[in-house]
Parts: sequence; C-alpha cells; structure tokens
Amino acid sequence: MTKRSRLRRSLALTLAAAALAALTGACDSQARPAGSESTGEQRDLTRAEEVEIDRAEQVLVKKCMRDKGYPYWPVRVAGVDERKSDRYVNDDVAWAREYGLGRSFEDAAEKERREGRIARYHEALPKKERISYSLALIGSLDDMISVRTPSGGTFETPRTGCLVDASTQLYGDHERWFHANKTVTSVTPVYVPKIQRDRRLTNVLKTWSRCMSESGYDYADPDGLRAGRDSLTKGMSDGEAEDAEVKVAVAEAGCAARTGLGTTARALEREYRAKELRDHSTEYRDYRRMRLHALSEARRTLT
Amino acid sequence: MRKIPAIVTTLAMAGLWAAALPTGSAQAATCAGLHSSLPTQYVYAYDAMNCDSAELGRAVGNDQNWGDSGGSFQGGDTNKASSVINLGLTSQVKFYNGTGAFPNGGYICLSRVEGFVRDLSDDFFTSGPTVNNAISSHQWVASSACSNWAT
Repeated sequence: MTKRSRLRRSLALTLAAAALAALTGACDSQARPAGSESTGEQRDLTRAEEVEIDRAEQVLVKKCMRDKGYPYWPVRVAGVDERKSDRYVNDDVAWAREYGLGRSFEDAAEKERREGRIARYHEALPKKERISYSLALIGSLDDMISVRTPSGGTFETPRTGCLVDASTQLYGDHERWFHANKTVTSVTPVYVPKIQRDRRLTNVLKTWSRCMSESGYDYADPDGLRAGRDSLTKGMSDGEAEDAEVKVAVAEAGCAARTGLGTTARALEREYRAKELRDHSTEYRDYRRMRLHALSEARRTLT
Repeated sequence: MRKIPAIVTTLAMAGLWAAALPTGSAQAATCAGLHSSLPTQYVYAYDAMNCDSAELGRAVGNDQNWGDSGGSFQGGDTNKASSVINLGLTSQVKFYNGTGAFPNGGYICLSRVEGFVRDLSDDFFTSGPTVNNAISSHQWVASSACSNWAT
C-alpha cells in the first residue's frame, strides 16, 4: 500500500462524520473569559477553548501518574484547524486552500497512534507491570459509574484512575459530568436525521449541487463529494492527488459560502439540538456550566 | 486466520483495559471476561450479544470495508456485529454504517475507557438507524472526533 493510499484511507474515515456541523456545541466565535461560569452564564465553548481543556487534561493525567510513580507522555491534542475537519460541510475557502480535505491532519494523528511514546512504553512492559499501569491510569471495572440514557442504554465508566482524577479536577464532579455529557451527546442520533429531512437543508443542497456542477463537479451533497474522493484521485501521484483535493475543497467551500449551505446547516443544528435538549434541561445546564468550569481550571493548569 | 495489516505496528495501540481487569474463568464467554483476557491493541467484534460467539474479527488498524477481501474484517463480517470491544490505548473506535473512504450513513464511537458494548441494539448511528447488525467499517480516532457514543 502506498503512503498516499494509506493516508487517504485513514483520513477519509475521520472526515466522514455523516452528521451535521460539529455536533459538539463548539463554535468559531472569539474566546471569552472563562470566568462567566461563576455568574451562571450559559454558553457553548469555542473550539479553541475545547483545545485548552484537552491540553490541560493531559497535563493533569501526567501529574497524577507521576504522583503514583509512573511515567506518562501527553498524547497529541487536535488543534482548532484540525477539529474543523469534522464539519459536515466546509465553507471556509482559506481553510480549504491550506488544508484541502484535511489529509495532513490524519497523517499526524496516525503517526502519533502508531509511534507515540506512551504506546511504545506500554507495549514494552511485562504483563504484570502493564496491569499496574493500567489500573493507575484507567481504573478498575470492579468499581463503575452507571448512567441511563434517554434512548434506554446504560453507559458505564470506572470511578477511579488518573483519567477520572483529571476529569474531577477539571469538571468538579466526575460522576455528574459523566451523566451530563452522556445525556447531551445521546441526542445526536435523534436530531441529525430530522435535519437531513428538513426542506431548508434539502433546498439549499440543490443550489449547492448546481454551483458545484458549474465548477465541474457532480455531487448531490458534501457527503457525496467525500465519498467520491477515491475516484477523484485514482491513478494520481501524491502531489497530483493533493492538488486535486485542494481544488475540489475550494470549490466546495466557495459554493457553500455563496449558497449559504454552511450557515444553514449550522443554524439547523442549533435549532434541532436545542429542541431535543429541552427534555434534558438539567443535564444540558450542567453540561454547559461544567464545561465553563473546566475551562477555568484548564487555564489555571496551563499557566 | 485473519490478516492484520502490516502498516500498523504492534506499538500502535497498546491497550490498557485488558491488563487492568481481573481475570476469571466464569466470565470467559462474556464481553467483560474477554476484555480481561484478550490481547491488547485491538478492536474486536462479535456476531452474538455479550461477545458470546466466535469473533467476527479483530483489527489493530482501520478497515474501511468489513465486507470486502481487504483489511482485518472481511466477507460476511459486514452488518453482523452485535457486540464490540475496544482494547486500544489512546484511541476511541469510530464505527460506520457505510463503507468506503468517506462512508455515508452515520457513525457511533466506543470509548477506550468504557471498553466494550454488550448489546448494540439500543445504540444508534448519528443518522438514526440501529447499530446492531449494521457496522460496515471502522477507524481509530481521538475523542474530539466523536459526538455519539455507544452504551
């Protein structure tokens, strides 16, 4: 398998969320002080703020493991531009020119996964020491927290371990955070199909598709564009494939910006998500409040 | 015997969960029992609920089509899984309803911390359909790439 085809295979799957927008509540607005959490303000976090929390989590896990006598190497945290790779549609032409369909991000993630320091360390440990290391980091299945979701399933997660310790430091109450986070994310498969059927989306998709045709591409929707990526670059050299991907990505972004597909998809996601979360207002309030709390703690940790 | 792609080294996803769990013969035919005894690094899938059947397959790398002759899951493995195990280290597993480089049809993720799903019938892809007997491809990802989790 060539490097390009390997990367393409890996990258492609990351981008194929087949769900609308980021689905995480993150937005692109400017960063704001995290202190608003203490006043009871409710808001979603920006992608940059999510990155701060993820980086702080790695610092806290490392400290916890060190305190228990184990080495730990923070794993790679995706930056803001990389997180944009998961959008349903890209309407940022500058991003498309820079990253195309996002191939370079997947390359970096795969390299970390295959060659990361912690993976190599853990792999080299004798079985007995692996057990101790695992218990310190992840905790034990003998002591679990359970959360019943709106769809009827039950999530279970360990009550101890350095990952839990970091979560507790960031969010204040790990069990409450786990409950809120799992409840809020469990509405995703409930509202996404409704957006996909909404005529406000299907109408703008037709306009976007016409715009793409004028640029020489025949796709019904952004999923179709990504699904056709292999055929688009078949037989090309690495350089040619990357150029072709940037070209189609720029067309996608330009058409999405001109037709309003990106803004429509994001607006519909906000609308439908909020509607579904009305039935889980306590958990959603906790979710947003605790994420702001985590942001404050992350900034304290990272300074 | 299923092939493991050579492109992924055994260093890639050294698992922690398996090593963390107590072993016990009484649990050998359940997801929890297998989770404590199987080799780390892999994602596993089973035809039966609670991992109570022969493996459909296991993979250290990604597989964009569980129904073709390439990758770790092959042939009849597609649209069959009813329970799954994640024994990776730093990655979550993202399962897709569709196949190909950018599969349509939605996804669901299994956290490395939560470790396994005994029954996929109460889990749903982002696009709505049940996950049970409907997984056709998978990829290892960071948690920031997931907004829909298997229970």
